[in-house]
Parts: sequence; C-alpha cells; structure tokens
Amino acid sequence: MSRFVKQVLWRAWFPLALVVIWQLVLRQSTNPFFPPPSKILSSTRDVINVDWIKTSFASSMLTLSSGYLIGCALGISLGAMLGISEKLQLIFLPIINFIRSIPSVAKVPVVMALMGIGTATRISAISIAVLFPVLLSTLRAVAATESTYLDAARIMGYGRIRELILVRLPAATGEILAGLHAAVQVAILVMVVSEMLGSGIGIGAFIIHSQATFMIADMWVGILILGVLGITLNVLFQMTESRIAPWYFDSKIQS
Amino acid sequence: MGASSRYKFKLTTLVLTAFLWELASFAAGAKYFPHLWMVIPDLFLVSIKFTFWQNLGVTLWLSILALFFGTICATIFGVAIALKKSGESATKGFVNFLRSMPSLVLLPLLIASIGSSAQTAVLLGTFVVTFQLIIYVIRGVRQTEPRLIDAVKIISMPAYSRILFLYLPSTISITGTGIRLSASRAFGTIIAAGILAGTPGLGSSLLLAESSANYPRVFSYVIVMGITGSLIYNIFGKIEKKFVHWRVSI
Repeated sequence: MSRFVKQVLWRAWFPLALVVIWQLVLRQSTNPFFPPPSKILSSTRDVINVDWIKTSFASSMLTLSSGYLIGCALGISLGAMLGISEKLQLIFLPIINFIRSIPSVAKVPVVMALMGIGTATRISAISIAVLFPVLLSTLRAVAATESTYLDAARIMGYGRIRELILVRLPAATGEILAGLHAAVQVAILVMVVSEMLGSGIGIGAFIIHSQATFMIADMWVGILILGVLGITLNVLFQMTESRIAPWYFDSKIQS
Repeated sequence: MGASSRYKFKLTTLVLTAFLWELASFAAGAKYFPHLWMVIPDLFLVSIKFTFWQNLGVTLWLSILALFFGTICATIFGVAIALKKSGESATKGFVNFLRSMPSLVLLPLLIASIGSSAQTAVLLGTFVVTFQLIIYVIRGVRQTEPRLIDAVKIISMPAYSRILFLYLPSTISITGTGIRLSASRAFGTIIAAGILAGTPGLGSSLLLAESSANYPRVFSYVIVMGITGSLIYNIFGKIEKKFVHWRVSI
C-alpha cells in the first residue's frame, strides 16, 4: 500500500507543483486571460450544475458516443470487407486515402453545408472523421493475417466469410483496437469543432460563448473539462486494450 | 499483375469516384453538393489566381514553422525528461493530459489573448507537434543501446556530446515516424485555425467560401487540401525511408 502511495505522490508532484507556481505567480496578476487556479476553481463551482450537465455536457456526450459508435461500426465492417478482397482494395484505397488526407476539421464545413447545423450534422461529422482511421487500421490488419492461420482455416474447409469472422478478425483484434483508440482523439476534436462552428449547444459552444462574453475563467473550465474527458477516455482505452488483446499491447511500450 | 490491368483498376477508380460523386450530388441537391462539372471548372478558376497560390504557400510555410518549432521543443523537453528516470514518471500524467486534450480548444484562449494572426496558428501548431512528438523522443532515448551508453561512460564523454552524438542519433529512427505523423497534424492544425479563427491561409479561404454560400468553391478548396495533405504524407514518408532506411516504419 505504501508503495502505491509513494508511486502516486511521485507521479503527482510535478503537476501539483505547476499548479502551485501558477497560483503564486498569477495571484496578483491583472491579466484577464490567465486567471489563477483558485479563480478557475470557483468558476467551476458556478459552471457545473445540474442545468449545465443536462444541456451542454449531456448533448456533447450524446453526439460524441453516437457519432463514434456509428463511425467505428461502419469502419470495421467496410475495412473487413475490403481487407479480404485485393481487387476491391485496388479500386477503393485511392479514394479512401484521398478522403483521409483531407484534414478532419475541413470536412466539418462540408457536412454542415449539406445537413445544416443540427445534432444529426454533428453526429455525422464525428462518424465521418472516425470512419477512415478505423477503416484503414482494420483493413491493414485483416489483410495481413498470418499465412499459417489462413492455411489452418483452409484445411478446416472454411469459406471466405467464415474465415473472416473466425480467423482474420480475431487475429486482428489488437490492431483494430489501436485504431479505435486513435479515433477517440479525432472524435473529440471534431465534436468540439462542430459545436464551435455555430451549433450553440455543447461544450465547444460553451467555450466560444464564454470567450465572446469575456467569462475567461469559465472558458478555462471548459478547456480543462475537455482535457479531463480526453485523458479519462485514453486511460479507459489503455485498460481495456491490455485486457482484451494482451498479446498485442503488452509487447508494445505503453506511452 | 500486368500494367494493363493496373490501368484498368485505376480507370475503374476514376469512374466509380465520378459516379459516387454524382450520386451524392443528386441525393443532396446540386446547390449544396455541386456536380463535378461545376467543381472542376471552379478548381481551374481557382488555380489560375495568384491569391490562391499565395494562400497555399502561407499554409505550407506556417505548417513548416510549426513543425520546426515543435520538433525543437519536443527534442529538448523529451531528452531532458528521458534522461532522468524520475522525470518520466513525474511528467507522464501532465504530458498525457496535454496530448489527450483536443488542442483546438486552446484557440479561443489564444484569440482572446493574442488575436487571430499567423502567429496564433503557428503557436497552436507548435503545441500540437510538441506533444505529439515528445512521446517518440522519450521512447527513442529510452531505447538507446545499453552497451553504447556504457561505452561513452567509460571514455567519460561530457554530457552535451553524449546527447549530441549518442542519444539524438539513436532517437532518429523512432522520431522519424513521429515527425511524419506530426507533419500531417501540423498541416491539419493550421487549416483548422484558419477555419475556426480566420488565421491566414487556405482555412480562412474555405471559411469565406462557405459563409458566402459558394459551394463549388468550398469543394475546390477541400480537394486542394486533400491533394496537399496526401503530398505531405507521401513526401515525409519518402524522406523517412531515405534517412531511416534500416528500420521498418509502423
């Protein structure tokens, strides 16, 4: 137990020291843009209430999770389909690579032009952003199944579909999970951007609104909440990854 | 596969792209998803304008600056953190926090405090590149061959030349991959800053076309961004292969 406490302290001293220095340096400062942590803390208490959670936070979480899930489902199924057919890859990969090369934020205005600025737009923007990295990692993993596994499947007399579901996809779990993990960050980014570009609802809109009304401490609260959201999802992913596919992730150096 | 069948596949890709595009255009309405015959002439019109090339140049230049400054910051902090074992565990949470945060949320803060200029975009890009790359630098320093470390200790090499001649060269193979990925991130961030904050470059051109409901122009810019993005990805991939040819990149 004491070792655990020691480890926690060892990890926490640097961020804590930063916060203390920040507080000491900016306590008397009149710079409105960099308020001391104490002020941000008191704003946090003002900002986070039942109403705020019901409107901004819940809306963001809803769009984030539904957009992410739709994008992942599409990405994995399309990636798996393309992964087993070289001909389809030759035809579709150039298109997919091109769309992936467009910065994800630049796709948001296009989706908005097509669909207006409702919830459906935000969900679609997130799905599209998530779709391509997930699709490509699935495709790569499914296409690169070890040949011994495929030989075994052939001996068992599996057809293509059975081989995909029983051999290729399970063998690709690690890489698919890594793709899903990488897509989380993109999903949060696109969520914030689509909210900032004129939806009026969600954490991103809250940040923009706080900036426009000079509630700078509130803006900091929004920024920190997104940071906490990002790292929470990151840690959750790391934990599930090494549980589901330990053979893939435990051999990698965790960052 | 023969050359002729490869061309056949390329042709199929082109025809299919055109077909899917037109399908989308009919489904969404030509006003918002313009037909190909509206976008291609517009793309040509855009490409003969001087301001377009100027904007493209600005975008690329800002991306390069962000990549450059970010690489320097990541190298300095990364080496400093990695050389002390306690340094890594103490900063891990902090670095991960900044890495996981969608960096664009800092944009409103930057706009409020320093305005929306080219510097804002470069600052944001530098931030993104630094925290993307720092993990690679730390990992690279950590993977330095232990026998080489012993060797430089035996000849009592001074600290700065140890960093310069041992640690930095051994990080290159891993940092190379990081730089390739960061180059695309830097480009994306500069574009995003333009779209969200109107900082100079292609992003703000896209924003302008969007707000004046000139949708063929919006698609032209998106196509240009796609071409530039894939060029950056491929060029950095080639550079990485050339300089770090001994390592299979991931």
